[in-house]
Amino acid sequence: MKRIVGLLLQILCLFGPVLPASAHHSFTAEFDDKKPVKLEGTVVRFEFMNPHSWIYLDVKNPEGTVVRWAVETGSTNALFRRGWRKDSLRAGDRITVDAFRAKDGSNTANASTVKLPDGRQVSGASSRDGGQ
Amino acid sequence: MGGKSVEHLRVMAGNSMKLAMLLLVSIGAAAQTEFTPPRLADGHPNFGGIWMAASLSAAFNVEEHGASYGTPAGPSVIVDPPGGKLPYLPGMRERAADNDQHRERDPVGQCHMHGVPRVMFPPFPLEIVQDGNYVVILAETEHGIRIIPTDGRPFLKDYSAWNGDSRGHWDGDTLVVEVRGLNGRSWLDQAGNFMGAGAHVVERFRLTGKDTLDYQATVENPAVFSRPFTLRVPLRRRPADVELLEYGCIEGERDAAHLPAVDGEKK
Repeated sequence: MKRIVGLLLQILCLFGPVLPASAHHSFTAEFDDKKPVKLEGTVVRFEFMNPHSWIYLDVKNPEGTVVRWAVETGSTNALFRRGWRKDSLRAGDRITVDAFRAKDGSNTANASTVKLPDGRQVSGASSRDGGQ
Repeated sequence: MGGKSVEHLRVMAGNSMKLAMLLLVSIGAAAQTEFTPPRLADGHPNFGGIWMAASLSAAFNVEEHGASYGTPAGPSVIVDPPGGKLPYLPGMRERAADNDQHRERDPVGQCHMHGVPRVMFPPFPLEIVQDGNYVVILAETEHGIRIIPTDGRPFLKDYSAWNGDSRGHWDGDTLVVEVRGLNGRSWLDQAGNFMGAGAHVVERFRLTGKDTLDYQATVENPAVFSRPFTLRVPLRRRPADVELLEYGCIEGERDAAHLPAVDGEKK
């Protein structure tokens, strides 16, 4: 009986909800998963809001000039339920973001993970992952 | 490991999965017949609580779909017609496929309401509160509010809205909700499946366990579909520490500037 219960639990885990993922809009409407980008930079502003929170980030490119990126993450609600708080990012924080670029070629991206100043790597609640 | 051994393992794994699924279905059926729902003072089942689709699959695509760009694979939630395909009229499936290639058209992406039935399975929680005269469904996303009178009052006349006009009645322990006045602009999912003008929806809600609420919707929409179809999405009660949060959709909506123009609109 224990084995049956164990098997059922395993199956329930396999078929259980993918939680929580968000999708206010479809990832594919705006972003290109064939254009991954890693951004290391300094936080200028963190807007904790719905339906997407935004991280504005100054990134120094190889030529030495600074480029400002707008990085979309999940909604306040999705981030809050994953442990993010309004002051999780502050101006001046150095962070690394793994993201996907917007199709329109602008310096806009959708974050899959964000490495926080304390070294923790957290989900960006990307619309690519389904979102909530 | 030889090819035969691998094939043997695959067959074994397939059989075990079928057996386990059969067992799950049997347990589900047993639970359904044995379960006595909690009741309010009026004697009707109490649906109160925070719920969310047990699987996000329908939010992505109500039909069976493989994993693709930004979308995990999932089964169809269409239980009628058999086969799980939406019974589109000739030419309509092509329109859905075109929507799929232009997801910027998705009304929800532009902060519009989900519409019925999509509002019942977004990737966000919803809360149900009820008394003897109303069942109210509060959807976190887009702040969707469905006020469903169950006191027998008539439908609004010549009304049109994303979530339409709902009227409910009890069929035993099942809440039956008829929805008219839908504006015909809603999508059914993120994949571009859609409804059109004149849609009429009948929903059925039934508790099948303490934490499981069975949701079915039958959609009749002769402008788009050759026959009615029914979808089924089980909802699961969310843990007690989950509460609905504000969802001010326009506030942080910065995507429009990066999206192609919708239906020829100028940006």
